[in-house]
Amino acid sequence: MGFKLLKLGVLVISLFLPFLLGNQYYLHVAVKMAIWCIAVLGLGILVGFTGQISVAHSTFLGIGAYSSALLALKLSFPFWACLILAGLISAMIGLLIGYPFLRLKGHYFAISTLAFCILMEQIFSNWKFLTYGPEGVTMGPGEVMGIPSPQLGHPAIGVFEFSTKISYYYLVLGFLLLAIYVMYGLLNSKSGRALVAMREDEDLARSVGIDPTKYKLFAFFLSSLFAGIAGSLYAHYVKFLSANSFNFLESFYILMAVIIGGKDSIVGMILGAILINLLPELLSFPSSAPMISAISIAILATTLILTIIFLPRGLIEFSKLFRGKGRDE
Amino acid sequence: MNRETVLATEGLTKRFGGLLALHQVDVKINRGEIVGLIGPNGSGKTTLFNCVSGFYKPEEGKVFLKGEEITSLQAHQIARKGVGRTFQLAKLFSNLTVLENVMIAKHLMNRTGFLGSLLKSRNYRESESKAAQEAERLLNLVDLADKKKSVAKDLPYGSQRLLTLAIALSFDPELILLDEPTAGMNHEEAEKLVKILRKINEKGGTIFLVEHNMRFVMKLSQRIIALNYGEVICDGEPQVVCKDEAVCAAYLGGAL
Amino acid sequence: MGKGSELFLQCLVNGFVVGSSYTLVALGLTMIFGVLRIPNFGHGNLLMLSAFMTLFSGRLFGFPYWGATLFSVVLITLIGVLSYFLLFRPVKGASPLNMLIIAIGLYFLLEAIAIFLTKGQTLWGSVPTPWHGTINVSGITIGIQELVILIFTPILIVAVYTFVFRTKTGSSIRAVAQDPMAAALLGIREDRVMVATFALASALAGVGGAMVGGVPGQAITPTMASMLTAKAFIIVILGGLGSMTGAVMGGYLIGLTESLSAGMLQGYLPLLGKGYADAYAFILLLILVIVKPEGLFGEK
Repeated sequence: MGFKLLKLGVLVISLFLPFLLGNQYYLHVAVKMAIWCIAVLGLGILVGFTGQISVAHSTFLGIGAYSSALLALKLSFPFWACLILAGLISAMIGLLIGYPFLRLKGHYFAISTLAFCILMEQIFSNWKFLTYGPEGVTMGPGEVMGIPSPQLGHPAIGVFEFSTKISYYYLVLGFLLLAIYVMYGLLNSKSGRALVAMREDEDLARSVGIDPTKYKLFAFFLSSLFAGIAGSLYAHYVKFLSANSFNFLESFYILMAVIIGGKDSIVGMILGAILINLLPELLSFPSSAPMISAISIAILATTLILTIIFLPRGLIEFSKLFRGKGRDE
Repeated sequence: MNRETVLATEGLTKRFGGLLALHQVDVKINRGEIVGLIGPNGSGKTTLFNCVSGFYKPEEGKVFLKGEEITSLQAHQIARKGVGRTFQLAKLFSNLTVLENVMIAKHLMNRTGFLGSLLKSRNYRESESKAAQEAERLLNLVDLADKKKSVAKDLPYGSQRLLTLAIALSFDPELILLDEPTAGMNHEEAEKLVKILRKINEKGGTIFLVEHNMRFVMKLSQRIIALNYGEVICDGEPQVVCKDEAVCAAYLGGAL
Repeated sequence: MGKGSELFLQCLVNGFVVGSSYTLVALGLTMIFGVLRIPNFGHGNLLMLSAFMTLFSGRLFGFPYWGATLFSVVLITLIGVLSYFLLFRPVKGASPLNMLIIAIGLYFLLEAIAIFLTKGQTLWGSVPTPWHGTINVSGITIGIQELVILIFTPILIVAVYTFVFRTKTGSSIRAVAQDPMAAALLGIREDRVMVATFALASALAGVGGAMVGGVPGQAITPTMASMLTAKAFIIVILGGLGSMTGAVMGGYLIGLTESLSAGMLQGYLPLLGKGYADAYAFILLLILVIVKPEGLFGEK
């Protein structure tokens, strides 16, 4: 009961966060963090349910981001269409590569996703089709500039543009809450239960009629869908894309958030996402930029290692001490 | 007697590298039978189960379920055709409750899609409660109803084995394969299991079980198949099999 | 000599030079994987750190190139062995996947150390070497440092092979790689073998870093080895986990592939050419995955 109250409290805080922060910079951090949470939840679906580790998650963010940006710029699609299509494109590509990859065991799967990630990064930074900018401006390869803000409404009635940080924050928060709702729903659904069963004991799951490949693919599909949507939200926020935002290092950070926070717990994953984004900010005061980088990376790496060794289910395990339960949430 | 053959194997052969685990095994299980599978350690009993339930692929031979060939099907497909099984080492969904363990398979039969469960539609809620009722009935059968909210890994070993039986039954299979169901059970628990299995059989269930507990398997089975070194050495009524020379030799190592 | 064949030979030479660094890292990586079953993603960063150490020890202590190299190699070997004791040994027997995550942690730790060493400055040149310039042999240009790499790497490889196949420690290593239980029954101290393996692999990376760092124009940054690390991983898998020959051949092969296609195939096909040079190792792996997933289980 206490935990539910805490979750409610966090929800309320997040609803009023822009007013509590009052500072444009912090608001920017909040927006990025919210987008990140959606991406982390996506990876969490894959890692938490199938136990497979993907290093290509940032690539799906990229696929979503570039798809959304180019649909908006080249085809003048409205934002909402771009978002949905970006998510679907990302999810479809996820299905496509998931099919051969998911047959592989453990670290082979991870390395294949690494290969895919790097290959895609090359494609992002070289494919002329993906470069777009206003007239007269020289763009580097793989760069997209001038992505429009999301708009709500019809020119005849009135148009609301999500161009301020506050409005964008609420936009992303809306999607984040939706994502969380979907994840809780997933847990109670047929597919979710099948995934939980597979996670507990795959052979036993097979013996009661669960097709592991089908559900692993489903997890991968959802995972990429989340990433695609997060990517789209990212693109329309920063309005500028370059290929090196979507490299395997980014994937590693997202992975760290999932593992440190807790791969079996929705709350844990969000905790991890918040932690990883917040850490550099907290360290801002005493040191200069590269030192923050060094220290936060060192802390994160150490935490990652310690977590995997001592607390494989993530830092969220600490909360279990207060509640005495041992279940997925 | 013309009973329908539920399970049949023809010339089943399984190799592991240089080791011949099963050799030309022919087995027939008819509907409504309780058949025991015995043999010394390493004779291929579990291997036979694994080949028949789709966990291993045999090198040679065929497996038929109700006349339909299932040799190349995957484990989950065979399960869906109505074959339930337990494993030698008790397998459970450890972190889930007893009730949830049994409801896993029931959920699969739920027709509501992902969206329906998301929106908690009426369909969803109805099938959920129906599934829960059926699950409780099953737990009553194996006498675990009072523990339905316990987490599976916290159960005593005997109860865990009963739970594995309940899981195997949870999707109403026509045939169940039980791999050493009494392992780790004391005399009382084994007697309870005999009653439960008899009840399942009365309701029409076909049972094929591997056992080392001779008293248990002789008492329960209508027919016994004996394996040694991957081959069938005897197949008949319990009294006949236990007196068979080859069987005694296999267990006692030859000279008597 | 025609222009075409000149270009070809030039690419060949460049390919071997590039392949050398791949080989040095891949060789160490495959040994660690073969003996300890650890996919050590952090291994490549040892090369990066070594380049830094060579540079800094030169500047701070005034070591000449050789001294700085020796200093770095020793230090890197120590760091490698330390990582074994602190990070990998406590979780002996964990799944390779968990090991991979720990290795990723190591990757970042080493990167953090490098950033820390640079104290905020981002532009570092290459390591000063006693020789400069390039030489030109029948139309083919090669830098002297690169020539050093080209010649010295095979020497190192031969040394490693000699060690592994001719010395007692070496055969212990091979024994544990083949069958840890049998090796233990023979009285081989597993722990010692693992330390030796890590030490050898780290030393290789250390030498690699000192050499690569000396190439004029090489920017020594904390992320300079990220692509190298990823490629070494792929090379190890393509060549067979635990297979030394596979790693060596794979390393040179990938280097050659990259160099030849970047130099000669530009403009012929859309996916080839300079921009995509880095991608070949990964394309190869993906093809392998799709065509023959069992082929990835080629452990020695």
